Amino acid sequence: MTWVLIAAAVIILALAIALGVAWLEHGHAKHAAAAPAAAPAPKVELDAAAAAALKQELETAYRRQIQELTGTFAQDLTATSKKLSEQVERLTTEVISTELEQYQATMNQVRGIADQAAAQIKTAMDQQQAGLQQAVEQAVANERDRRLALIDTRLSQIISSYLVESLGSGVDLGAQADYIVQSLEAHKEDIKKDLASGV
Amino acid sequence: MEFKVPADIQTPEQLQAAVYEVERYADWLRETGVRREVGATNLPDEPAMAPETLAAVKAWQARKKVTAESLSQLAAALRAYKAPVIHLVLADIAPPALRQRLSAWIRANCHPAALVALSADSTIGGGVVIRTANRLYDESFRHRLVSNRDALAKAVSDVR
Repeated sequence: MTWVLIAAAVIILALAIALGVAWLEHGHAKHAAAAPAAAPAPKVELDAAAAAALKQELETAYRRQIQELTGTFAQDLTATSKKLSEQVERLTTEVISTELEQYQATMNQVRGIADQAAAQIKTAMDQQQAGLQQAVEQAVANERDRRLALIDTRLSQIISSYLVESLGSGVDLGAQADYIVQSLEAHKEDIKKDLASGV
Repeated sequence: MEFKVPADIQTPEQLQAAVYEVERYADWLRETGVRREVGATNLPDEPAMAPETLAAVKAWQARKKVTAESLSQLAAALRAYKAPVIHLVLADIAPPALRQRLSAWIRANCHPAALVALSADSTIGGGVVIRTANRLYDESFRHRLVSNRDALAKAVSDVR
């Protein structure tokens, strides 16, 4: 958009220059064509010196006129160019500012969407991580409970097997005699009653 | 007078063996008596007796003369003997010294004529399982470990 405006301004400036040059040439040609038209005027015989002086004077006047017109055109062209530059600059500034604002707004919007998406992703990841952690902890707890339950239900069998495997046939009952007698002592009264009633 | 089983007979198996041996000895006396009456010379060998059976015969001999008939009475008395039985399960077969110690303790502290039935179960690990006609007292190592399952479960659950 900006570059289109700049190109249009340059084209307008070139056209103005071309028109100015054409106008100047046209004026020169007009003067040149107008000179023969004055021929029908009463013919005045001039001597050569007077004719030369007149010619010189006319040429000087013509050149002065050309210079004046050229200066005026240059001034107009300068003013026009200046105004055109100002206009182009203003338009360019406005366009760039507008584009920048739109760009900024778009960037802000994109940034907002990106932030929102990132926040959603983070939330989802946190939830998934929490869920995963909870699932793992639950699985570990379930496995632990299962093993504990297995041990609990088969504890007697496990311990019996362990004792047989560990002790084998190397049980020293002589060393246990005191413990066995203490066990009997602990239940002496109950055993006495049981034996008295069990005859 | 009430017949008392001698202290040497401590287990139901010994009592049963004593009945068998006394009856066999009574039969031997009868057979040798008949053979002698007919003049036979090839008399059968005298059957052997376990020390505790011999102790029972000697105790019986203090009351009656030992004859085939009296020994049959002794066998009948032993068979009819009703003694309370306490069952002890140990982790291994009890040696004689331990068997005598346990029997002596029970007769001194619980019942003077109780018989002790001993058996072995290696799965108890150690200690003793006491069983009477009415109750069971488990003082085995296995029972101690199993009954303390909460501590075991805590130890297992504490393992990370």
